[in-house]
Formats: sequence, structure tokens, C-alpha cells
Amino acid sequence: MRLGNGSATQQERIPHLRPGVDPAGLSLTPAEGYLLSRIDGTTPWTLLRSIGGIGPDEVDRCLERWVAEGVVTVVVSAAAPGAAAVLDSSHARSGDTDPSLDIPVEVQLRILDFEARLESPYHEILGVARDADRKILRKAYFALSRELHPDRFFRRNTGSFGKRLERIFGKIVEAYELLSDPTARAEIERSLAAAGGSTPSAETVQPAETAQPAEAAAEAAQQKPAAGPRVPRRPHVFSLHSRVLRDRKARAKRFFEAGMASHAAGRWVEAAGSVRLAIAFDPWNAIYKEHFVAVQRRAQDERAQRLLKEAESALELRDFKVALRAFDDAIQLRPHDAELLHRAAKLAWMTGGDLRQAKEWAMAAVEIDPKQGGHHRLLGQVYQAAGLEANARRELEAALALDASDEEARTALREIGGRPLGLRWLGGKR
Amino acid sequence: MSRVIGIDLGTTNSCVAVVDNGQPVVIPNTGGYKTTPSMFALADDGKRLVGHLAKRQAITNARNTVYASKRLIGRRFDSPEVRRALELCPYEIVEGPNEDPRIRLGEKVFTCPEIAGIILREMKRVAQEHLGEPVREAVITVPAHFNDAQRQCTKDAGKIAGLEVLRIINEPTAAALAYGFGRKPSDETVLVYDLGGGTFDVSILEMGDGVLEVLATAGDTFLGGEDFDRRVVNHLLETFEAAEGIDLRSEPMALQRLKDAAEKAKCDLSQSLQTEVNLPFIASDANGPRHLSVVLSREKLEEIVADIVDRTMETVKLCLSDAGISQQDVDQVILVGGQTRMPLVQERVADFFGKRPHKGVNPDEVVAIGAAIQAEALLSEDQKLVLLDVTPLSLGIATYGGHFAKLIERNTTLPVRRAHVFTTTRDNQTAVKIRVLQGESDTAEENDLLGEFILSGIREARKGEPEIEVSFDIDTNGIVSVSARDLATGREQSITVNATGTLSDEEIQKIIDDNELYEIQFKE
Repeated sequence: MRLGNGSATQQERIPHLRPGVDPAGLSLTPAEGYLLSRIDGTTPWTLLRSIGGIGPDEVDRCLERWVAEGVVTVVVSAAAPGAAAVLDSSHARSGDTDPSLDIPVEVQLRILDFEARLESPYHEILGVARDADRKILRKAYFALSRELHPDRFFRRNTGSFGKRLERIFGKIVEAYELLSDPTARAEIERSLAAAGGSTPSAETVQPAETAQPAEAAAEAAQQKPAAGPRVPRRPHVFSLHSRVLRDRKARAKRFFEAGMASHAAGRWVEAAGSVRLAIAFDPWNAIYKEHFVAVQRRAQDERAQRLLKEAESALELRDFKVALRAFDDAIQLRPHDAELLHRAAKLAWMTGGDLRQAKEWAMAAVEIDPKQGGHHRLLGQVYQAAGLEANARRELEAALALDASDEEARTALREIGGRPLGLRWLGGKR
Repeated sequence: MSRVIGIDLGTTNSCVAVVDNGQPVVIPNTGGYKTTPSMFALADDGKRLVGHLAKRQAITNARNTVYASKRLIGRRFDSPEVRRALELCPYEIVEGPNEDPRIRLGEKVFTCPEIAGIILREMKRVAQEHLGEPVREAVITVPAHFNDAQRQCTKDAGKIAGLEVLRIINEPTAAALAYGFGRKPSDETVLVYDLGGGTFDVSILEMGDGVLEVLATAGDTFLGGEDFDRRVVNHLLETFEAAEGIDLRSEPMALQRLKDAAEKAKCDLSQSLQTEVNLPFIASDANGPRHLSVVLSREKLEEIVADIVDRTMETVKLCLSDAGISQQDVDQVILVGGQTRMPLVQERVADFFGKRPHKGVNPDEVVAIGAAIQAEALLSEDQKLVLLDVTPLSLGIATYGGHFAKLIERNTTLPVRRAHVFTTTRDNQTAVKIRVLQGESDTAEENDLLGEFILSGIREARKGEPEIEVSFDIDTNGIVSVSARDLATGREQSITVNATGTLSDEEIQKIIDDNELYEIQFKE
């Protein structure tokens, strides 16, 4: 059960991209990229969990990671949007139920649980076996309708649950209609099989966590042979679905082709953008995903180069702010480039920029390349500027230990009144 | 909590019901009738008359008596239905400021929701007098093929009558609810054939386990019992002209008398094989007064309306095909609407399905009873009944080249949300106009325009590049809302569709205030 401590709130938790973060700079799987592209500052966490193409649990994991990494902040929208407050990741799952609503809390839990499973295969949504016949489907559909149709809570104070119920019910209808249609069902069966699912006859027991209406479960347990073939019900329903699907695939293909053209021309950023769109329209296409990973790496390099060039020319113009921003962006793309981190930290320190940021970068450089005395020296200098003398002394001494000829470090150390290590060695008897 | 009623707001007659101690009952009006004519008149002395009182004086006051205004509600003044009414109705229809048809009675011009509101208020009064307590809430029925505008206007009418409309439901669905009430739960496929005064609907439903699911619904806007009457009127007019050389078509009073007589003859012929129409002093010329006297046989009647009945069976076939079933799959056929009393209709239905239609529901009352059952079900704590209704007409938007892109197909279960991505048609186009349409034609213009809005601020790009996602929502009340979003900028525009002919809140309040005035006059 994914529910939190049940604290009462009607607030929606809405992930925002932290300003200044360039999504293209992160190293993401296509599914994660797709998820990131859906973070628009208005879509709540709960809805992101059901965007499709990426499972709800995976969504939770990614979002929590991004919150921890500072890529994403979560804003709680209260009744008044002005009263937004930033939460840290430890509250990620609290506050979904609300005892003040006219829905019993256990029903709220059931609704939330159901909502969390909306991307499951259709038969699991209905809580029936994969080879359930039409009669069982209908029974399950009716039972779920009685339980979760929005009219069940007509005129009651349902808070955010009203919208949830509409979405849930829409999905139940979709599941029932597609599974009732032999053509659609065959296609669903094919895609399940392709995804590595067992054949339906092998799967007779439902996964334990799949809550299902009691009658439907009982019915499923004593399945009768499927009823004789029946004229397909509402054929246009499926034709609409498949038309939309076809359309999306065609679009995906167009984007992919554009992406490949850019790829051939060496325009990696453009290529990555196109392929990402292709994946957004056809999230199940393995070829697109594979290409995306390759293209994205090249795209990041290309972008980083471009940013460094930008930084250089800004430095020439002595526009340190712009240069720093370009460095910052480049670091997002190449977080493990110690030299880059060093340059950025040095610039920030020397131009009176954000010392905290300078410290982060310098520390990262030290971490990546601890044998490089210069990184320690810079970190020491940054500490010194920040008035953290003990830390400064430690780093400067480390710098001198690695490179005794580092006069800059020696001077700095002298400034803060520490005895330079080298001096002691030189002067010591031993 | 006050009682909630179900109202069948019919083209010719209206009916009100309530669930009393768990049993749905029809409420008779003060005259003891279970249905009330959907008529409204402004008398010479300025008095407002509703129902039987209006009908009684219709002949002498034809120009100021409104009937069948349901045919006009929610339509545009230039629609074919309104044009046809212009030719046929003795009362004056004028164009309102929202391109809606309005009705002029004496000095005053009434909107269609206002007329419907006056009739609903009368039904509310009937219920209040019977129950001895105030009534504030109702479920109101409409023909299944009513579009969003017609439904919203009906809701407005409820407001004007001082009723909160819990839900607008489809007439055939209501009939099925009444049929299913109190039956032991068994799975059944039911077809409702609803031939009312001015409308024809077919719905196919599956029921069982406390759930009523509408599989498909189809309707014919141009068809109803009044078309039968009109055929009879024409027959009488022609017979009279042939015999006397006088054309009565330009005589409103004569037409109204003919209309009444035709309706009565039609009803008589459901019981007997022959009837006589006698209308003395119907006209006069230099040779003195003329009388109309025509003998009409059932055979003759069936001959002049046979093609209308044939047309209803075409709609039945369409509905079966939409539901994906054949006539053998239908377990029960329910006949609704006064016109289904006609033996010819019953025979044709029985022949087609190979079984006799269900007896035991009163075709005039069943719809109101179903509405009352739905009202009760919505408000009860332990909901024993859930209705899964569908949208009767496809919804979509107009696209380049005057095409209609359907986003929600007809007969989709409610509530529903569908989205689709569209793009621009010109380079550097920064705005698109979203025209929301309802109907079945592939050509945009041939469908009903529900509303339009503009999505602007699209980033400049080559044509075909921007991605604009348009999504449609229809809630369980059948109310449509549409939003459009530029996927690149996230910019969004949305509307709750406010159709032509619907009234603003101020307009509604003004009408309510006006009517309060008359309410006081009544009691003087």
C-alpha cells in the first residue's frame, strides 16, 4: 500500500522543475526523459503517476530522486495558490486521504489504490483473468461501476476524489470496451505477449495485490467455457482507439525520421529533441529508445561545447554573470568534468560570485580528481574567502602536500596565519 | 429534506412523478389528469394560462397559444426545424438576439426556455399541491438525440421554474429504468422504441445487477406523433378543398380546429376501424357557411402514414448496428409515447423483432416514473442503481478544409475525456480558432456549432510543427467542456461550452422576477 500517514489535507503536490535546471543536461533514460517532459508546474504528482509509458512506482522513484538531487521541487498548492510551500522529499507520500470528505476513508484508500494501478494491463484493471469471457467481463464491469461510478458519490463533498473517480471510471470503461471487442482484444493480447507476459491459459491466478470485486473473483474462479462468438460490440469504439494509436505512431515515425536526418548532419541537439518527441508519441518503441540514449550523449557533448564557447566569449567581454551561467549549464551536461568544475569555481570565487556554489563545484572537482593539488588549493581559497579558516587550512595543506612548489597555496596559507607545511619540513630537524 | 420529482417535459404533454415510500407514482393534476398539455397561452385580458386551461381556449386564441415549443428549444433561428415551424405554427416566431427562435405573444416576446420553464413551473405546482410541501429539485427528461444546446436550455428552463435540475436524462433511458424497477435482477437486453408527440428515439440497454448500461441510442429529430396529425390535417384540407373549393391553410382558427380534430380521429382509430370528423362552420364564403364532414378509416390512416412508420424502423436498424447486436439479441421491446398506441406501429415492431412488445408500462407515464426513480437513486444513501448513459451525438472540432474531426464518437459511455493533437495550417500562425461541433456529418458545416474560442500565443513555427492538444470532457450531466493546449508553451485555453440560445444568469433571474409578478397576479 502506497499510502502515507493519512494526515488530513486537500492539497495537491505539484512537482516543478527547479529554475535554471536544463533538463537536456541530465542523464536520463527515455522513460525518465518523458516523465521530466511532463513536469509543467501544473500537473500534480498523482497525475504524473499515471501518464503511461512509465509505471507509477517508477514515477515515484524518479520524482523522489530528482527532489533529492535538487532537480525538482515539490510545491503544495493550497486553496490559495499564493500560499504555496516547498516540501522536502520526506513528505513525498503523505496526505492523500482526507477524513473531512463525504467518502469513508477506506473507500478513499480503495480509490487511491485503484488510481495507482490505472496503467496495469486491462484485465488487471477489471480484476479478471486474462482469458475471461464476455460474461465475466461484464459482471466485473458492472460490479466496478456500482462501486466507483462518480454518481455513487453524487452531491457529496468529494474534494479531489471527484476528478479521480472520473478518470478511474473512464479507464474502467476503456478496459471493458476494448476487452469486449475481439479485434482490440487480439491486439492487446499480442502486445502483452510481446512484453513478455505468459499466455493467458498459463495465468489462472490473479496477482495477490490486485484487488477485485468479490463477485468477479468468484466468477473467475469457476470459469465456464467462453460464450459463443458474438457480434462485436460498438465497433467504432475500437476504431477510434486504433485510429488515434495509428496517428500517434505515424507522428512518432515522422519525428524519428527528422531526428535521424539531424543525426546524419551532426546536429545532435536537434536530433535528440526529435527522437524525444518520437518517444513521447510512441513510448513503447524500443528502437527509438535505443537511438535516444546514443543521440542524447552526443547532444549533451554538443551542447556543452557550445556553452563553453559561450562562456569563453563572455569572459573576453568580462561579462562574468553570463560566463558563470554558461559554465553552470555546461556542468549540468558534464557533471564529471573536473577541469570544467575547477574553472567555474575559480571564476565564481574570483569575481565575487556565489561562494556556496563555488564551494560545491570546487568540492566536486576535488572529489573527482583528488590527486590534483590545484583543486585542493582552489577549494581552500574558496573556504578562505568564506571565512572558514580551519577548512581552508586543511585544503591548502593538502594542496602543498601534493605539490610543494605551489606558491599560490603557500601564500594563501600564510595569509590565514597557518604555518605552511613545506616550511615546517624545510625548517624541521628530523 | 424536501422531495425530489421526476418530470417528463413532453412536446405535447408533460407528466410528473415521485417516489413515495419506495414506490414510484404519477401525480395527477387538479383536474385529475395524469398528464398536462405542454401548452401556454396569453389570454386577451393578459392572463397567463398553462396546461388544460391553455388548451381549452386554443381554438379561439390560436395566435397567442403556444404548443410544441419543445421543437424549437435550443435550436438556431435559421435551422430547418425552426423554418418548418414558421410555416406551420399559428403563433408568431421571431428571431432573438442570440440567433435563437423566440415567440411573440401580444406585446411580449418569450424565449423558448422561458416557455418550457412556465410549463415546468406548472408541473412543480401540481407536485407541490399533491405532496403538500415545497419541491425544489427535479430530474428532467429530454429526447435522447437532444444536443448540448437543447439540454442546456432545458436546464435553464428548470432554473426559471425555480427547480434545481439534478440531472437531465434521456427519455428512453428513463423508460428502461421504469421497466427495470422492482424486477428481480436478471440480465436482459432491452430496446426502447419511443415515439412521442414530436420526437422519436430508440435506445438499447443492458441491465442486470443494479446497473443499467446504455449500449446505443439513435433518434430522428424530424419525427413524432404530430407528423401523423399533420398528415391527417393535410388529408382533411385536401378533401375539403376538393369538395368545397376553399383552401383553409391561411385560416389560423380553422387550422387549429383541424389539428385538434385530426389528433382525436387518429386516437379514435387506434380503437375503432372508422371515425367521422365533423367541423361545422369551418369556413364561409359568399354562399354562406361551410361545414367539414369527412369519414376516415383506419386503413386510410395507415396508408397516409405508412412511410413515417417505415422511417422509424430504419432508425431501429441503425441503433442495433451501433450496439453491435441483431434483433434476436433483444430480450424485450418497450413501447413508449402515445403514438405507439397505434396498431400499425405495434404490428411493425412485432414483425421486425418476432415477438410482441412488452405490455405493462403506460406509454404516457413511464418516462416521468423513470425520472423519479433516477432522482431517488442519485440521492439515496445506499445506491442500489447505477445508470451508465452515453453521449447521443459525436463531438469534435472543425478542421482545415471544413472537415469535422470527431473526438468523442456517439454512444460513448459517460463521463468521458478524449484528447487529440492538432497542428497549424500556415507558417508562423500564432493563433487557432477552435470551433466545437456536435453531429454526425463529416462536413463541419452540417453539424451543430456548440461554441468557439481562440487559442493564441502559439510560438511561431513552420506550418505543421506546433502541437496543439485539444481535449474534450463530458461529465455525467452531459455537459461538455473543451480545452486546448499548446504542448510547446503549455499555454491553455478552455471553455465550458455555452451554446446558442442558452441564457445568461442575469437573463434567467430577470425572467424569474417577471414570473414572480405573474404569480402574484394569479392569486388576486
